[in-house]
Amino acid sequence: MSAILFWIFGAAAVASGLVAVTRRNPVYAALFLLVSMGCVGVEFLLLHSPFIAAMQIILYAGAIVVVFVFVIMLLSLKEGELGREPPMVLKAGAGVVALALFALLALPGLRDEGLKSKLTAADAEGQGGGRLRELAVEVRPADVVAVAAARQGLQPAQLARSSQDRSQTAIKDRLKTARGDAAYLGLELCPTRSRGLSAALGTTRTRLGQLHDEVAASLEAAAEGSPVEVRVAALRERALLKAQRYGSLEEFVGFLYSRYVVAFELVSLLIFAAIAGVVVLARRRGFMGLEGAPGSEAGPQGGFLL
Amino acid sequence: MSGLGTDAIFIISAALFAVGVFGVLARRNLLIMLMSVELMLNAGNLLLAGMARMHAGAGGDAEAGQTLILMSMAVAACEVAVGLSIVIALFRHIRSVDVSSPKAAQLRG
Repeated sequence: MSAILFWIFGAAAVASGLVAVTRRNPVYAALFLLVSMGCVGVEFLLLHSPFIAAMQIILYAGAIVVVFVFVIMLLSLKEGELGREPPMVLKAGAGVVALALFALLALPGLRDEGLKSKLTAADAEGQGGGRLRELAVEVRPADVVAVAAARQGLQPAQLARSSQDRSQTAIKDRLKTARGDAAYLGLELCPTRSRGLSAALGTTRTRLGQLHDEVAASLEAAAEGSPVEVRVAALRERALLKAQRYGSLEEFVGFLYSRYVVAFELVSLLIFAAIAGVVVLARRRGFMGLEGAPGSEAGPQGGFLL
Repeated sequence: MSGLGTDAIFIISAALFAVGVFGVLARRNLLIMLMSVELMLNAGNLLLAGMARMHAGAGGDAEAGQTLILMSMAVAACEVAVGLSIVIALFRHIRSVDVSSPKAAQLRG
């Protein structure tokens, strides 16, 4: 369903964009651009990024297109001022260049099998719980230790005692066994910058439940199965929580003001510089008696603001 | 992106970008050209969002892509503001937004 919607709104965005750039009247162009921005906003929603979708509507459709319309109305272009259109030959050439660019940009993505296999492997497991499949979740080393213990029929504490060794080779071996144990759980371990290991869930939510039952059942020799159950249940809970939080405002703000605060402040500085630039560029020369002749006398007279 | 054709994001963003390029090349109205630049930026943001989702699904960080999209949108807003103020300043001098008019040739460096 979301695939059909994605294609529909994508086609609408491209079509309205095409109509927008071919209008002679800039007001019509701005209105069709608005439609295109709205369609792209819906696409962001379909990509599970609600905050970015809201920003698209607020910033692009609600500020940028509005500024365009303001300037168009301010200039009040008459027919003669709109500008000649280039000859048909040049337009055809531009069309050819655009088509070539489209092929150039779309083909590497379409033909990149490594990139697509990551998605199709996740899709191949079936429907249901699809969102869980796609998101990475933090796997604490304690989880992996617990699963390893379960597989060896030990208590997690017994296994943990042997993993006190912090030498390089011991850590590498532990990582290798951790990968094997994670594969047993149907997870794939990848290292991330954060302190834990991150696991990409390769199974559906239902299959994770089945594996959980398998792991719990394999503990018949161990006296207590609850640590492993707790660990796997905690894993599932974290995955669910992360799935709900992806692209949400809470998660976004959480890292925007912590990890990316420098970028945020730099962009604020850029906005400030842009405001200063706009005020300087668009002011009227000769206004209030400052700044002399070149703009105020030789320029066109008349008009309210110009 | 479960259930989505994985090709969709590439095709749609590339098509949107190509439409923007066509707009810049085939039009002589400065306002329309600026609108086409906005279309191109939109295409880039869309691709970033799709790739961020794929990256998060494959075990990478989920935040970098979305933050980059937000920064790109903020930069686009700044660029539109400055570009339109240049359009206004130009219009005051040559009373036209046609970049192919001989009056606009003063802009050539």
